[in-house]
Amino acid sequence: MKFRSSVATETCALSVAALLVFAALPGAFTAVVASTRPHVGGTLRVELRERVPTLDPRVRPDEAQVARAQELLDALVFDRLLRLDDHGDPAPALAVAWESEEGGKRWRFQLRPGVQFSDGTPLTAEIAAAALALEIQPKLGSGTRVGSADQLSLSIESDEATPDLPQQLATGRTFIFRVVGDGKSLVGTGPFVIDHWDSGALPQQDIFAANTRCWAGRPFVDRLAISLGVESQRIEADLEFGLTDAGELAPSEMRRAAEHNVRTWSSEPVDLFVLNFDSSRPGVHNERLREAISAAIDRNAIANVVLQRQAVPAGALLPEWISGYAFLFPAGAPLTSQNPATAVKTSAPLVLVYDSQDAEARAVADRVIVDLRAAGISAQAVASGVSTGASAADVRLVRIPIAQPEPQAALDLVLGALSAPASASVDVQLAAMPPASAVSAQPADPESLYATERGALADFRIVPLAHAFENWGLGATVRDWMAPRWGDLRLEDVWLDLPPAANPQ
Amino acid sequence: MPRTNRNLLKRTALLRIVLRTIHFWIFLLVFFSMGARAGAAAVSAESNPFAASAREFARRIANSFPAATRVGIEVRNRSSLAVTDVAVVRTALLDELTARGLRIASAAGDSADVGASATITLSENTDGFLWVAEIRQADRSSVMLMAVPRPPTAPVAEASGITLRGALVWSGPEDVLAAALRPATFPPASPAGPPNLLLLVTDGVSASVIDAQHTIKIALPSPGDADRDAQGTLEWNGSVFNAKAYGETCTFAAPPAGQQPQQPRCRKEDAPLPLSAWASAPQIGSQRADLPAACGDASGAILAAGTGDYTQPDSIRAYEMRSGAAAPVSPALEFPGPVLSLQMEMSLQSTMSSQTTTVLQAQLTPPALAVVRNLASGDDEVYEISLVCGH
Repeated sequence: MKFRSSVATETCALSVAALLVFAALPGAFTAVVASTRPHVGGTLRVELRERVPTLDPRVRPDEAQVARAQELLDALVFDRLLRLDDHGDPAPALAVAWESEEGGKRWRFQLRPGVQFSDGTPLTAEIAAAALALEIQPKLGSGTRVGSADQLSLSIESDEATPDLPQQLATGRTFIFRVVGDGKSLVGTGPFVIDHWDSGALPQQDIFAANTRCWAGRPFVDRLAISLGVESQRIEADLEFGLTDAGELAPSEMRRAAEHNVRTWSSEPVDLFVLNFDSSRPGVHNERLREAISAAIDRNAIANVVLQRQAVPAGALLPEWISGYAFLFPAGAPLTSQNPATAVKTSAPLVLVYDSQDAEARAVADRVIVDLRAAGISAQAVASGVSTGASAADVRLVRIPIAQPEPQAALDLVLGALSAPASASVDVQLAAMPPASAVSAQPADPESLYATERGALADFRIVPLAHAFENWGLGATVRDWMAPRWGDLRLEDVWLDLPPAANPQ
Repeated sequence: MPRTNRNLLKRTALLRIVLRTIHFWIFLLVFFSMGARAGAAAVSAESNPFAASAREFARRIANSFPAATRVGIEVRNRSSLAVTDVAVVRTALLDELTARGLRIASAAGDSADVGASATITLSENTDGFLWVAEIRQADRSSVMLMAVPRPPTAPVAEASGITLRGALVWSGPEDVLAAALRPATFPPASPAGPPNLLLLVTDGVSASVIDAQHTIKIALPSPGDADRDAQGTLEWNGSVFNAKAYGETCTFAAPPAGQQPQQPRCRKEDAPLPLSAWASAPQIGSQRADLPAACGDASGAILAAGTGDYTQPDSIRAYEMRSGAAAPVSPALEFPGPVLSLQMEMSLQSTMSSQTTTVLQAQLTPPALAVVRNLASGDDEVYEISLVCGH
């Protein structure tokens, strides 16, 4: 027995030694990975949950999620003057150079020469100015002038300094287009052109073809077949059975996708769910009541149960990956008031309005109501569009896609969106183009950024709940899904790894 | 005693001797490995790029407290900083706080007589690292933040056989198609600048050659047809540079020192960029550089990279062709993103043999240069790849 015991010990030691040796040779057993250069051709099939009635950038959907989907699709057909690089900094797109004068009140943009719209018309500063003016003037003030000095020089002048104008022109709905025909048709310079658009069908089936005139090179795939308004369960099933190449996944479908070995991609937590109180309403005028409401909400349950772990609890407006200091705003901070019980008494049930088209918003709103009632606060959730909704809202549940990784610009975006009183849904355009008054004069240092956010949250008029991920399921043949961390799509860079014979044209 | 038992005892004794010998060598290996790491840590603490930032942050924190205050200090890491870097930062913070006259308690709030505390959190955001100090004194509290830029990193792949080493020589926001070291006859770089490096960069539509200091810019003609999978090469052939991108091949000469180069002579190049002679081995990667007769093997070897997916980190590895198939002969040299370009011009000089081991030192003149897209920072990075081989 002693011998066997000794051998066992020494065998064990040998195993440990072997492990040490293997650990000391990292990569020594790395498998050789198959690889190729990107393939050109094929049809990329994409499914989204939202329906998009039109791609016209001049039309602004009321619902936040529809507006977000429209903006993603608009970027397939239309370009902006600038784009965001992987750092979130403005980079050349249709404009190759830009400069400001008079402290940021006047900007000049030099357009890229040789760019053509998909119908062959050359891009000129006059056309770009006409497209931009529609979008810029309402945001920067009626005194804003968008003009063209020559064929390729565009200027924007405003009464107020707009030092972050390049950042604004790289995001949101600031697309450049040319109006053709009867004034309803638009053409762009983007990587795709609309081949077939049918907003009446359900699910909506739309076809985009590669724009061979695209200034940045034609996209790798020949066509995009995009289905809109597809139910989230159907998207997961289509991914599972290879009936689509990429699909937007609801939080509830992520676990099923993982169980079925569907490849998934998630953004950083970018969708902010936040309560926005109308403090002019008598029901929520009391700051102690708003504080009590904030303390009563179980954000962990919202993130982990309602949103199926596809979100993180939020105590701050900006997520940690953007600001780096979100941990200073603990989610679900305890009450600081001495006697909240007297403050939480309300004469009538509070009305919480949410976006009727947003399934996740509805689930979050229902959870908030449960928590409030458990805390003795009478409240009801009402979908936007219901007759008692918008006008009677004490508080709105707002969902803001923070498609902006630069901390100062992201905070401007959120505060701009929350200052918009129009409806329960966040208008992405407003979010991307905050009013000039909301724009700080200079990019902030971390301490002033933190102070701004702390000030915005101090009176509990704004109560963050969660930051949710944007999720996509990907087919086995999809390559180079290079969406940035903040969730934009870059379908022009995606290619399909199919043998030539099997690649459908 | 039966023969079988005696044999068993002999075998047992022999086995024990062998195992003890193995244990001895393992002990020595672990001992020297730990010793080497400790030594390396001491050296790296001196040159660690975060040490100076930590001292600066500590000075700002110390100014918040009256002299000789007893302060509880807690350092937390929520960032991607390596454990060794966190240790360096922690040490630098505590040393500087002590040097500034504060009396440090072991942890924030660890005893009742500590009236002041500072919780220092090493965090990060999209701009870089962000260090946060939550300072509490009696009933007052404040927050202090300091942005700390991310320093570049350099990978190393050590192993027996061929060993690859990567040294970061440049990083920046430009989209780099290829890089080349410039000869001494080319205009000299500023003394304080990065090494003599020329970069073939693209703005997505056209290409130009710049130097690392941006004092030189040679625009290549815009071809009119952009390519989303743009590739390029930049080579020095001994008298002129050849730059290839977007179907254009441009040649420019090295001008006299201190003068700008003349405009390049360009022509359309219809043929695609040549692939390595190893193209018959498609499974080993799309980016390759030939190693002529590397490590004494007449059949030659190549460096290869390319996962086929620009969203994934990549690695470079040396391969040899054996029985018609590429066989890896080095461990993978890991990078923080996809390898976009890999170029090499090299000559081998052999150094010599000692006892039973023959060592060939491959001196790359100029060395292989790899262009890597750092997925964390978004910057393009140029690495100088060197190898040491032995068999």
